[in-house]
Amino acid sequence: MIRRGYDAELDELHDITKKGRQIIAAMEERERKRTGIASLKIRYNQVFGFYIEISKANLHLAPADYERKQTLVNAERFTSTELKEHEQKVLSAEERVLAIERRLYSEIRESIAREAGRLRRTAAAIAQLDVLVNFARIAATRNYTRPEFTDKALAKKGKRGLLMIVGGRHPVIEKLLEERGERFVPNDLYLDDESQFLLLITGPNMGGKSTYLRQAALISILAQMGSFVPATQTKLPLLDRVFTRIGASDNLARGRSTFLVEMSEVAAILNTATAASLVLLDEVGRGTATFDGLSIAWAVVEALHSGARPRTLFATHYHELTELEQLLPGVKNIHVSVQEAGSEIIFLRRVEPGSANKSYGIEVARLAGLPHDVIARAREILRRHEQSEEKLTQELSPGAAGGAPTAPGPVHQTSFTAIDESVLDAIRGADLNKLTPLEAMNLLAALQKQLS
Amino acid sequence: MTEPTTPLMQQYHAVKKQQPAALLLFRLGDFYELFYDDAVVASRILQITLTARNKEKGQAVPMCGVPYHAAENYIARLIRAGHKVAICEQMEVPGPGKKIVRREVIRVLTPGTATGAGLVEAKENNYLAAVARSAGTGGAAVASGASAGRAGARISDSVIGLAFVDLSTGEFRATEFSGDKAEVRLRDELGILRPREVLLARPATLFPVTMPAEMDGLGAVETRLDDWVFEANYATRILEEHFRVAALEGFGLVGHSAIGARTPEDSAVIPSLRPAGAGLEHLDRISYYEQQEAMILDAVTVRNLELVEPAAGDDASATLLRAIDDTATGMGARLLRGWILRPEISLQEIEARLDAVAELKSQTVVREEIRKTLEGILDLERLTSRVTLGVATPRDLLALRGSLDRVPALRQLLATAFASASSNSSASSTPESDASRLSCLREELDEMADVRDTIARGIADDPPALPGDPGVIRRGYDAELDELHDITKKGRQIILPCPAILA
Repeated sequence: MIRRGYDAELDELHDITKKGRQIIAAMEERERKRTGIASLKIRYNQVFGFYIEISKANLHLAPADYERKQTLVNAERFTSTELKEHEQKVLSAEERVLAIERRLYSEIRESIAREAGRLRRTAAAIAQLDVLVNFARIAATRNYTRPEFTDKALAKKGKRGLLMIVGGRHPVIEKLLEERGERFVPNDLYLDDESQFLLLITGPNMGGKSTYLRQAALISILAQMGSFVPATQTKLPLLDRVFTRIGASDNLARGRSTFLVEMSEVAAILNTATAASLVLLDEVGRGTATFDGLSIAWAVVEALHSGARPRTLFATHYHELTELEQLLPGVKNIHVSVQEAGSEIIFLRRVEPGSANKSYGIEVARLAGLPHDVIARAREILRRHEQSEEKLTQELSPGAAGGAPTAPGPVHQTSFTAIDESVLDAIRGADLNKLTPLEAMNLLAALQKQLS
Repeated sequence: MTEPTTPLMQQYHAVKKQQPAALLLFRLGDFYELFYDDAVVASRILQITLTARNKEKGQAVPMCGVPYHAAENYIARLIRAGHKVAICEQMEVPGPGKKIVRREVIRVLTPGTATGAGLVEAKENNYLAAVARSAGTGGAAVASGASAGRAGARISDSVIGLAFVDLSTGEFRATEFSGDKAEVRLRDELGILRPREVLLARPATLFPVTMPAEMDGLGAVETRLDDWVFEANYATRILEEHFRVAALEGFGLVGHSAIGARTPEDSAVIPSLRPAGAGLEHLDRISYYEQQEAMILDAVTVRNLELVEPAAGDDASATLLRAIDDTATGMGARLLRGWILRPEISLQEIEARLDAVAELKSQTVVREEIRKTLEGILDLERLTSRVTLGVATPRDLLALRGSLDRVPALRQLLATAFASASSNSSASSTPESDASRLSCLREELDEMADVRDTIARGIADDPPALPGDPGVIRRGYDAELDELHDITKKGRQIILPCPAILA
């Protein structure tokens, strides 16, 4: 306990409380004598504090120094200077308690604040431990493996190493599928320095092209965060940057020209990408007319190839681009595969070498059960329609100017009679990239009707 | 807008003129009222009825209001929606004879300066950023930007400085960009930081050309400050005063610019926080960093890859962050988010992390023990900031202590994990680092026995919510206080007669 004399106020408070009852009793006795009112009471309540109560009958005996406080039916309540002083002392004790508590609390808080640096270091260490444990748990439960990085010496020289992913999965989609009890189909990716660093990916929509593109970036990002990755084996380079040009629909909502946005993003990629970057291009050129788009896509591939030569994955529906594999070393075609099972199309979501079957729309029509001769006819017509495009690609290819024309594929010449022209026009006018299987079937049914 | 006729609306317009960029909450009796466009915006965000005040020459003035006692919640929603909010209070008690009470703006809250629990996201940083350009050919270029417009701002050798602070955690960093791609790199960085608020010099010379698409989506509030705030001399003085140092070399801020100017924008952060009433004592250091220290992911890529936010129409769980975030603490969640947006390019750092993950992966029991221990740890960063800001409640201190109480167990577990791991992990560990990441982290973990002891002795078990209420300090901590407690208790018993005789 605190020594007496340490705090005068405290000492007085002690006296007040120890002798509180005596003081009030003594005061009451004194006032009774002074006024001659035997029933005079000194009491306390929460609202009015201490008061001296005198009944109405004795009111005329109240001394002049009493101060009126409250009037009741049968009594009057007063206070006196002495009583007020006493009250003040008692009530201040509680305030004192609060004041001391506040002071002590501030002292505690300030003493902790002085250790803020240590607290922050500890917090930072806990945060990191939390994240690393998080990575370890995910690695353990989802079969992630430790990524391997390409030779350090190579990386230091700014040279690109291998980017190889075996049995890779898309971390987000795999998790979402798992929650529905489905399994993600793993696939591989192989990019190296020279022989293949730019992959052209073709195949039907919904086939998993976009997923494949993003997966490569996400695995690289996870690895460089220090996490294990969803793949059975990986060899990764240190990427300085990931660029993406994927889908433009989200910009439409903001009222900007899709194509303008697309092109400004492509421009940024061409201006900034380095050999240590990963570039993902999804359907570049889609935002404009077919031939514009194809031409731009073609030029972009050439620019990437002759420029910084970043590792690039280019998903496209321009089958013409697959010609670039022959023209530019390092460019390779891959495609997402589709399988037919009876009349069903199954998206295998598996990525395989080579380009996709370009007459995919007609394949769908065939699976839908269109008569064989109609399908055969449609194939011929399509080939004829494509001649013009092939001419274009030949002109675009670097070898063409040198006078060494690449041999055009044997085009089966078919003579059409005049009555078939309207059918031909209808076929020429159909955009096969946009036709749904049902529309293709309806179109063919209509054509067949015209021919019969 | 017609000329206001009533004294009240004249007063409103006078106040609003000082706070044009903020939603003005104008105290009228028991309500905070908003008028005109403010009312339209607020009613939409808060889902409250938009009414009209019809007295202005018969022309309807849009109006909506929130009761003052529930205002905090509404204000929080406005801030979270990315608005600045100015609170205008009645400065005197209305009485007879007074035509109109005096009103003043007492607080301006902005998304970047908010620190309250309802105002910031637990798993995200709440950055306030400042951007300034120091021109190679002299500061005049910046100053004259308003009149010269686009031409004046095209200075190829200028340096763009960026500083940002998270008031809720005390993080304070700065960097700068130079060269012809400076603007692009700045945008990339802002796209990753996603500041809630950006401070810029008035006039707007930062982006002379139209804002690029990726800036649209940043969702940051812009605050314009006078350009002298961004001057290097002023900046240096403010920072030196703030950190109480004679020179800033220790923070690594000097010598990063080709033209010798240090990042001038840091200063803007500090003065701009003052009107917000924010305490700044906890901003005890600023660190310089280079953007190139990480893999660069620009805003477009962050969006396309759905790293932290889903694309329009996609499920919220479609992001990489959601797929791999099973962290136990708010600090861990924020760090993970930071790592996603800034992957490493240092192989040594990556391998150190991978080694740690490998160790933790193989040691299932220890890992799960660590995890369980982490689950009881609250947001130490933000609790610490509340302590240094002077706004920590007694319950915050108990939470701090409860969290720190788990640190010794973590150290113990890490010692176990490291001891057994070091014997068999030599194959994969990098030769550059002698100690594993886990043992480094163990070293970094401070048991804070002194702080825990102070709180344990000082704070009562079930303290009141606010420090000003009685019963905060534990019995036995301070003899004088205990004695006073006894006195008041006894005093009451003595003074208060038994209830039966109470009048």
